[in-house]
Amino acid sequence: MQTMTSLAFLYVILPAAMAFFLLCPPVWRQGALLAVSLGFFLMVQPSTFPLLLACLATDRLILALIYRYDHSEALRKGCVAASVIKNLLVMLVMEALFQMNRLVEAPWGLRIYALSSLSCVLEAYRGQIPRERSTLSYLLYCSFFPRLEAGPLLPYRDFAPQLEYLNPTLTEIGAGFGVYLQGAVKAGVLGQSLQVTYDALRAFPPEDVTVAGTWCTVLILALAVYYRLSGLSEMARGVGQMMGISLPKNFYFPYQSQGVTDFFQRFNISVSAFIRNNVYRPLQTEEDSVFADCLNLILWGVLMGLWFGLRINYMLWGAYLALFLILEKHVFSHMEDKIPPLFMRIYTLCVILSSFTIFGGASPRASAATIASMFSFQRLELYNDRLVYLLSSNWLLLVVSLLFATSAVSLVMSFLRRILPRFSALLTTAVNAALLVMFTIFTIRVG
Amino acid sequence: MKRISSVLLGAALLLLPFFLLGAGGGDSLPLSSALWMGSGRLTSYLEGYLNLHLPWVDQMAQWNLSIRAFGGQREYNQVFICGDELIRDIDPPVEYSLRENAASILEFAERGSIPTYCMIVPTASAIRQQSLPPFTQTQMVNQKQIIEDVYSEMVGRVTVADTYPVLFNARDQYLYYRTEDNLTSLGGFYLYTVLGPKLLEGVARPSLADYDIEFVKNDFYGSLYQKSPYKDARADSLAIFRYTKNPRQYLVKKDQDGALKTYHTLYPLHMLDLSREMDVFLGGLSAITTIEANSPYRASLLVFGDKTALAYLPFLVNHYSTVTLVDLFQLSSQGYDSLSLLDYDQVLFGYSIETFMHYNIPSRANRLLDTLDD
Repeated sequence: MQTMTSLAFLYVILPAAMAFFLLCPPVWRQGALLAVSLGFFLMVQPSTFPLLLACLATDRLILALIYRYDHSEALRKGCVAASVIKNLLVMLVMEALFQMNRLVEAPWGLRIYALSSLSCVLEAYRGQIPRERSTLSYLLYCSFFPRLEAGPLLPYRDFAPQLEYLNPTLTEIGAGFGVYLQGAVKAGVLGQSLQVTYDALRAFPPEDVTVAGTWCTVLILALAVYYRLSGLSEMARGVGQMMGISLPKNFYFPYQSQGVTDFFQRFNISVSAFIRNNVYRPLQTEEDSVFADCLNLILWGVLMGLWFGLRINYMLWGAYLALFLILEKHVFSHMEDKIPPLFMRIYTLCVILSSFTIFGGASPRASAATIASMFSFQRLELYNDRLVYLLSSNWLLLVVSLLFATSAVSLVMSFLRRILPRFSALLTTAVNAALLVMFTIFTIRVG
Repeated sequence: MKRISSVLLGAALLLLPFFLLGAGGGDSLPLSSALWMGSGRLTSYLEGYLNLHLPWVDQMAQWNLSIRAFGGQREYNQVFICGDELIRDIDPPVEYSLRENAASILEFAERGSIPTYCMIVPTASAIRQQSLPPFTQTQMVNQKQIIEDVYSEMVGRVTVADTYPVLFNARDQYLYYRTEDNLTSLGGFYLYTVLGPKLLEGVARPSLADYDIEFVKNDFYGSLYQKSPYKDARADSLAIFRYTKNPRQYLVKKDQDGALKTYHTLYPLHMLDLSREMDVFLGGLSAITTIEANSPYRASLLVFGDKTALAYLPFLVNHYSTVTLVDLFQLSSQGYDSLSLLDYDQVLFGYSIETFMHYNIPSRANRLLDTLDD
């Protein structure tokens, strides 16, 4: 389902939503934004609209109960437990139904609105948000439409205060549109093209599988996941900015991390932070043994994997990365400063790339076969014509994807902004205009 | 400066829909039930609408392919971009279809007791393989091998016409359209040079000198171009070959869109005005096409075929009083009822290898065997 990466969104839905939002007086804009968000949901997937309403209504009720029974810790805990169980159960059941082909399409935005409403309940329980917050802002927080596709997640306490004065300037709207376009090209052009290349590599018949081909498959999957998710998050950030709402960055050049711990702070940042704040830290105690912490870290990793769906391989992917978190925290922590950054980057890249053999596999056995293929120099050819053809057909895509996965271009732009601010502003406008054309050209259905 | 650029971009966003409307995009703005948000169809409806009505949409489709080609991509929508020509890539064979079709033709020949012939026509991706992008040859379907395997099964029971060597030897000629997935009239002539001697005993060696060649359209862009509108693809010329050695009168009858159409020519040129360029040949492919010629020959031929027949039948009809082309894909139950094998002296199965490998269409002919029992 293409929602924000569609021509309909760019040329009709987004301008219409912005016009409606801006035409409303600032005091009505919260309501206008909620109407737009719910309308957008109805437009994308009307069949699960009742699920959204039911989910949000239940947690709103739980919130009210938490406030009402603030004198009884047991009742408050019961409310939180009910919300946790309800949200996990809904996500689990819907995902299972989808995997069993009982649902035509996966419930849109379920993970975001379920975890957002849960986050709201948890924050209320911890007293991190004042009582007087309105139902309107709660509903908008959970259903804010740009976030529903892939996040980012953020605490209610960071979101709600921004709703009090929604009056973006044209400058903010323009800057936000630029961010949206960058995200659209990342997700809709690069991410989509990488996904097609990945699918083509996966479709190689067994006799055409080569060692280099397997390595390329893993590399391209890692890039496709990054561009798809980071692009969608940036689009959400851009649209948010256009409406005067600041959303956090969700990806920050994860493949140049120095260590897996660093990777968790750069890849799907908001989900990682959500798990850290709501699972890892609450389960952590002062007297924790190393063993208990290790289990806790593994749980963190597994939950990071479950974010992508209910599959054994996703859980194993997270658990595999968690093993390196454990090593970095409990075994090599004292050596951190002594290891050269370049070595750390190479080590991290190897760990992350190898983790995508697990991520991309249909089953643990399939992943094991992939890993075996990566080193089967005796059994398999190093490369063949089919691989050379596919790579040569996509050389520009691969070069651009690799380049923009690093911070090189971002550093050059920062440098230009510092020494040639006017030129850099002009360049940014030109680049954004080019991105608009590029996105349109690559989104048009050809043939 | 930064402020100005942001303001420009912000204003651009808000003005985009007006720009679309101003550029003619609002001509047929959807005002149907799809507009109801809760229908769940609005986004896909809008998307389809924009894909058709966005200003410069054709130009942008070409830019899309040009950028892809610059980035190394030489195949789009299963169409290879090979310099100025487009060649369709074909999927690997479906073993079941291949076996089923071969077996059913053999059964047809054995039960039908009518001289049966088979011709499997290779596609441009095999004959024009030297034009394909580098490194693709090894992954292409070995059409020659497949055709030889099928023919070796049929040998002695069905007369086969192996057109591969003839087409391959003439591969540098204009045998296949550059932008359409079919043989040209010249390609059809080469098929006829192989097929004629098999079907017709004692027929003189066909010569191009016996035909007047008329180019009826020189700027034709076919279906491959629609799928992959690469700007450097060269337009095709549609040529019709008129038999001048012994001119004939023809009557082409076909059931088209539920109505019986008749043409007193093999090449109804008015199709050019209807933008149905490929229908210039026998009026296009329909369930049953009957061609009657005032020839001195009395024999009749039944052809089970696909669109490749449009290329070679205009040559073959000169040797028969009646030729009936049946497209089993389009043939309805009433169509089966209207045919009787007893009316024919010869039966030809003439299919593109793609149809033969992927669809169980030739095997449907066996339903007609019942007409012999009746």
